[in-house]
Amino acid sequence: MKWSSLNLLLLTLAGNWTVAPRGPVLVTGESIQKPLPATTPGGIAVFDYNNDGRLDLFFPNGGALPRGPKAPNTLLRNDGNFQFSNVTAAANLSGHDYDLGAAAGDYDHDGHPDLLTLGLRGITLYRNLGNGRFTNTTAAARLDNRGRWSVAAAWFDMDNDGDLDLFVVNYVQWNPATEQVCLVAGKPDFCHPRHYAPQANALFRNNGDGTFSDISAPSGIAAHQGKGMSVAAADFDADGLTDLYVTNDRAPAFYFRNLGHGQFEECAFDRGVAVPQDGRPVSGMGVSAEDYDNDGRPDLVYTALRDETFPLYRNRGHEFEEVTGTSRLAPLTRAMAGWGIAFADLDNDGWKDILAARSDALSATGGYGAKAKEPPAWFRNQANGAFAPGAGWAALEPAMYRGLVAADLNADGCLDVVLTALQATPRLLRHPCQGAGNWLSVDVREPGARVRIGNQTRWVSSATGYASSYLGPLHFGLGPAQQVDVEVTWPDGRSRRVATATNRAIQLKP
Amino acid sequence: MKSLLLLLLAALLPAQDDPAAAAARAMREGRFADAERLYRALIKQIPQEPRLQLNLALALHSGKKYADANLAFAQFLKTNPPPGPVHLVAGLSLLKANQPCQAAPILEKAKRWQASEQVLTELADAYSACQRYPQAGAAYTEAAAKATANAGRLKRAAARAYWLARDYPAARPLFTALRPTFSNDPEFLYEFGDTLARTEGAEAGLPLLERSVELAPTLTPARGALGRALVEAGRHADAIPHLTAAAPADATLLMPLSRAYKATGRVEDAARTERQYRNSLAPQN
Repeated sequence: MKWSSLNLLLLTLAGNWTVAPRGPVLVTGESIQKPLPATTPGGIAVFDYNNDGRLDLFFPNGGALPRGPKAPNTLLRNDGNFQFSNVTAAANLSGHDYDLGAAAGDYDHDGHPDLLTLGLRGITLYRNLGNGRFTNTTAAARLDNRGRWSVAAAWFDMDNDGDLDLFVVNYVQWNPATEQVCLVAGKPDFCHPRHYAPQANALFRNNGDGTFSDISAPSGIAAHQGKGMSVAAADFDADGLTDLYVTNDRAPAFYFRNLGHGQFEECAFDRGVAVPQDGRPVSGMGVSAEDYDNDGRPDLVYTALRDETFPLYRNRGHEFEEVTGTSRLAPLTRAMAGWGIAFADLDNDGWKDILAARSDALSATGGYGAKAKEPPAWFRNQANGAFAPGAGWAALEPAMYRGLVAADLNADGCLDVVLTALQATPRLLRHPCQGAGNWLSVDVREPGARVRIGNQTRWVSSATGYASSYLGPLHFGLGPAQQVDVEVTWPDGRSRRVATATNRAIQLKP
Repeated sequence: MKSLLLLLLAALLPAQDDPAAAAARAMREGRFADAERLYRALIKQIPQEPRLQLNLALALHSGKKYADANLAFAQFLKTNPPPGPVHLVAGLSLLKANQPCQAAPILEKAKRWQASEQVLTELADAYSACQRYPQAGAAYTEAAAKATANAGRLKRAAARAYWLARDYPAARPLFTALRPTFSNDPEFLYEFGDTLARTEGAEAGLPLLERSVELAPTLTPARGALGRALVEAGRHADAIPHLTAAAPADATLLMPLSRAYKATGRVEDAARTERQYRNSLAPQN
């Protein structure tokens, strides 16, 4: 079906950002019993499934709870100029159970990005056949998350052997038969995570033959039970191996340092990223890892709930320094609750800003009422370590926002934003792209690859924000620069350096 | 409250000196046990008369037998649900019986009958005791707007309720307006200082927190908040005594204490304190 422009509601925002609802309503299965899963959808995957150079959109969807009809997932093919076609059926991606998140990655290295969905009762791997169709290869690939509630995943090359391994973030143990009734301000609402037992995350090694091996236990990952919400994959300690940072809901975060040879060491406290420095464990939600201060190291920011702030950690090499207060993010985000989050240079000034999809974890029909709904927000990087409120989104209405991905959907050199919200249609925020700086789009696509332009460094990573995934070109805002040198280093150590004019898209291979 | 009870009784007084009149007389004369006995006997004779249930409830409430009074009020309100003054007395009886969460919906009905300062204040007290702080803040604010003599006290209660609700944007203007009145109140200074430290950064809250601790060195939560703010401001050595004093009551302070030790070169103390902190978190999983 073609989405006619007549069907689209376009609202002009301050600063000429426009918002267009696209795709299906995110079905959560919320009821008066407030089953916990209903508060946790819905991620986004942004990837070019048909290799036509345009970024397509995938939205996992939920359904009835505790069991019942599934709301179909949706794949929207990008036809250019913000026109999208719903090609879910043709792509065979409707899904079969309650899904929350998605992760795109070319696990079989055939040049066609594949897709993993994360669900309430397991994970599903869809292999991209390269003809517009996907096929469910979960069983053939021997991927089994043992029915656990998974939320997010990262495709990453754990051992630099050239193929993508898989880390799956599992949330809590949930049994509808033992779900309690919890009251917030006298009304039934979602229960606090303390009412649910934690689970271990999962790590699967790519065997290189289309199958995977579950190495959660021997790798050391399974020894740590958490209430995982999201993951960021990056070489935080610059040792050439991709590490993992996992946020946990109302519990200390995990930092899994990659020791090589399939071994990981959890050392979040040693690195200073387990809890904020004030000692109050927070409800870690979505996470983003990028170099916001242009010192060449990936930093961390994640969302949390009201009065917890969105903690920001500056990577100092051997450990992290929490700079939520000094960056002004503490006062800016104190009254906010957030889910999806991304470092992204919205104004193309060469400094990555912070974007957040906001809303409370409680129900909009529970104790907080409509106060649970919040508008999305962005914070402008002032290039001095501090952030300030961003402009142009003030007219966006409050909703139960969850997923957020920044991506240049119309290849105009400015980052647009995709948002999901509970029981609502996804929103596409179209960047006005007026007055923004110069830019460069660098297509490398291999997770773990590092791209440097001037003092900016970015890493290719499929996991982003909350339950979401971005597999596309890396966007660089470049301010007034008209010519730049681009240096790419692939995970296997090969590197390449090219000089190029700005305001264009380039593709680089080893 | 006494006048309200007499008003309710007057409306229900019998015309003749029968057992009901005797019960009413016992009430007027403060012989609540006698009144209770007489009303119970009358109810046995005329069980379908709701006014006798109300009189019994009032006798029990006046005799401070709140648990029994609550049962009698509930019986009466079951057959007389429209909002009225009985809801206020029934709500008060529940508050006296330490059942604030049950009192809140009854007092909400009383508010529909009459949104007076008294009703709003009792409702706010019920919300607050039930830890429904956002609603308490709103109710105290509404009560303060109707108050004549108690406006300052009610605004103070509203500020505290919003602070407890962690609704700092709502609490802050109230604290600001109240500051001249409470400038030497250590609890006020702690709550306001904590609000400023959270919403504007540590430096903004430090003067108030320091003053609070100066006035009341035993106010442990204030010392914890001061310690946290000092760590955030980079004054690690200054933070250590405050965090050490407050950590036994709040284990989350062990984390900033550990950081303060580390920043001041006390590596072993830092490691020991971090271990204590991690142990304190373990049961949450």
